[in-house]
Amino acid sequence: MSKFKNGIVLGMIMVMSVTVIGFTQQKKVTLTVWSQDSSEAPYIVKEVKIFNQQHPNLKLTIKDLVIPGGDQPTKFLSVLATGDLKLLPDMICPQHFAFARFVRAGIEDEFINLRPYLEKDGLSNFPSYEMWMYNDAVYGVNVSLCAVVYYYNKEVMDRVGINPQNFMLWDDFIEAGKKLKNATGAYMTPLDIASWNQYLIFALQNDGGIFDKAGNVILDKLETIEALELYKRLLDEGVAWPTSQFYGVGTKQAYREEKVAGCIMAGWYSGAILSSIPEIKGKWRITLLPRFKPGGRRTSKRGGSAYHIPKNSPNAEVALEFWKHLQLNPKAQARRFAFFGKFPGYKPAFKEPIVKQYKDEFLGYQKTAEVYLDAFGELPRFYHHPYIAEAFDILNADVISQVVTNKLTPEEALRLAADKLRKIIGR
Amino acid sequence: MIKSRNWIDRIPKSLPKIEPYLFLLPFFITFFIFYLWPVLFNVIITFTDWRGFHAGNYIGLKNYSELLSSSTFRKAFFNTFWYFVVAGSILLSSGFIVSYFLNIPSVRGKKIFRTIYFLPVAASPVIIGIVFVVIYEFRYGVLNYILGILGFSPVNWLGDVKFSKPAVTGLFVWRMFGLIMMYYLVGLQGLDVSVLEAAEVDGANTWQTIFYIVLPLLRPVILFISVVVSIQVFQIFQEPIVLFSSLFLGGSGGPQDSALSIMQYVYRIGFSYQEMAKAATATLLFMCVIGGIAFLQMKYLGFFGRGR
Repeated sequence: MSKFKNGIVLGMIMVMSVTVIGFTQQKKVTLTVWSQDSSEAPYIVKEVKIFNQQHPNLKLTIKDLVIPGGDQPTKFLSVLATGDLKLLPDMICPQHFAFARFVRAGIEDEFINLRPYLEKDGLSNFPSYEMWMYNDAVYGVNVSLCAVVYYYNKEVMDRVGINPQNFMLWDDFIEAGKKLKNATGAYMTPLDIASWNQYLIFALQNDGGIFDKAGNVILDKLETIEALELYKRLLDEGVAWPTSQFYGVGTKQAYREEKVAGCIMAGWYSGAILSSIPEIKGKWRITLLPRFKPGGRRTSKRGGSAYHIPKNSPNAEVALEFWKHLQLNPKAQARRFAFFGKFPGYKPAFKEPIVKQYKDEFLGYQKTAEVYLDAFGELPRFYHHPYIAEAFDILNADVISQVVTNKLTPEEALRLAADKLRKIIGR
Repeated sequence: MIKSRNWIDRIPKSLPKIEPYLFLLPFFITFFIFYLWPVLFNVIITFTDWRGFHAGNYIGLKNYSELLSSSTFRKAFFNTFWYFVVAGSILLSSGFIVSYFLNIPSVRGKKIFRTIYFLPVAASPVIIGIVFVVIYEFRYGVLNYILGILGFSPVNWLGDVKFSKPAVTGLFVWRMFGLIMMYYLVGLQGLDVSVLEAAEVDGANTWQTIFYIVLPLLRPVILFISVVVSIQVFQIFQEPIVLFSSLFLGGSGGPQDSALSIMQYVYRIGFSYQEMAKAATATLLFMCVIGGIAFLQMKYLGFFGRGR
């Protein structure tokens, strides 16, 4: 009996020793993450807890710093220039137009090339990896879908007998707009006449854009010109509400007063802008865009931000594992969707019940996942380029404002802009 | 005679004293590191294609020639000069007029007025800019509402090429007015009252007193204010950024870059295009212009001796 008791005590001591050894071998890592806004930190903290449960040998904590997405390249370059790799963040999350600055400064290869991991998962699961691609390496993927839809005030449309879900082509949109205008004086959508903000949506939808995959300027491509011609037509026919403060208080007031009964914008627009107008809650819905031509795309893209992992950061390997957890995990993407309300940029996440069954309260409990899943396969490509910033400024100053004030035709403006951009790049 | 143990006292008297220079050394070190070296570095990189990280290559005067042939650079230059002339004139003249009235002994409520005029100076420029975006709003803004009551058509302050610079100027003048007024007020209160009384006794009217006595006596103050205003105007940056920026697009120069300032242009090519060397070149060119204008101001207003 005493031998038996001794055996039990010895066994317990051995179990306790292994447990202690196991805990002491648990690696403690603190990742420094640069988030774009303060709402990211609580989400990341939640995901860290789940990540730690799935990786018992690792105890991850996050040091989150909020740095606006457009400022992250400046800060990152400054840190990199010190030469002290310990100061590098482990993950950053800049906005898409800021990525071009890394390429321009020649430091895009300071980040881990994520392409092998995306290809292993299936590139078709990621509709916007090309925005973070340079020389075939991919340095990030959009954290959310950013597909463009048509938001509309269902109450106003019903009063006039318009159903945007039946629009086949942009001509149908314009005809409906005239009917709406005659009946109520309202417009179908605001249109930004001060910048490329909305015009690019049309250009991409029509397979135009600024640069192609090879980096050639395609501003003067026929499809890009057609998009600007449609843009102008929407204004000239009086169905679009011209504004130089698209995101300003005037546009919100116009929604409130039902002077504007819709908007062509990306999925994040409802959370970022519309949700600040409680008076329209429950009245609006979404649908895909009309096509340029039969068989054409019914959506476009606008915006995006992505996590990058500096390869020389102190905890690059752990950061990569955490990134995979955030981006390549349908359940994590679904949880992100539940937290932020922005649809995932990862196709398998759409099968998760929380995404599939989601009913958007603000949009009248519409099952918006059905709309975005339809959009997934039709998203156009938006190729970035080191000179994208110059391209945007040329569009603002030399194209949009010249065309809407009738100083130049769309074709003239875009041909001049294309020549100017080629000259800048080719110098 | 007792020999001093102090090593400084044992230094031969024929040698120059080093103590003053030792005391000045911290200033010169700081000055070199934070002022002189950055300026020298700025000049050096204007001859390279440096983009902020990897070493740049020598390219001679290419940055200068590209900038001077850039229509956007010329536009920014012209816009900034426009702000200098218009905003500068408004501030210099209106600041004096208001401070003159506030200096009149019989005026009541002077302290309240002074506080109200000075409040914008203490407020954050970004917050003021955001408020002005709402004021200038085309369809729902306060300014167009007032214009409507007065029988005028609404003005697209932030969307029309003709009005974008006046919109920026309005915000800038509103923000700086209190400071300029206070400078003038301090100057007026420092004038010798007996001179003004003597003028009154001699039969000078108000206009004669202002033009022949007050303004000439205020010349040093006017010189100081004009240099301060010039520096502030040439550094206009926050106002156009806040008025014309879009939520997700960063700063804009207004419709067709009609309100783009030179500092905004420098920021754009440095932190949007990542062309650090070219931004340095633009800064250097503009520094020469500001220096020239400051020199002319000081010469005209008698800083170097007899002036007009």
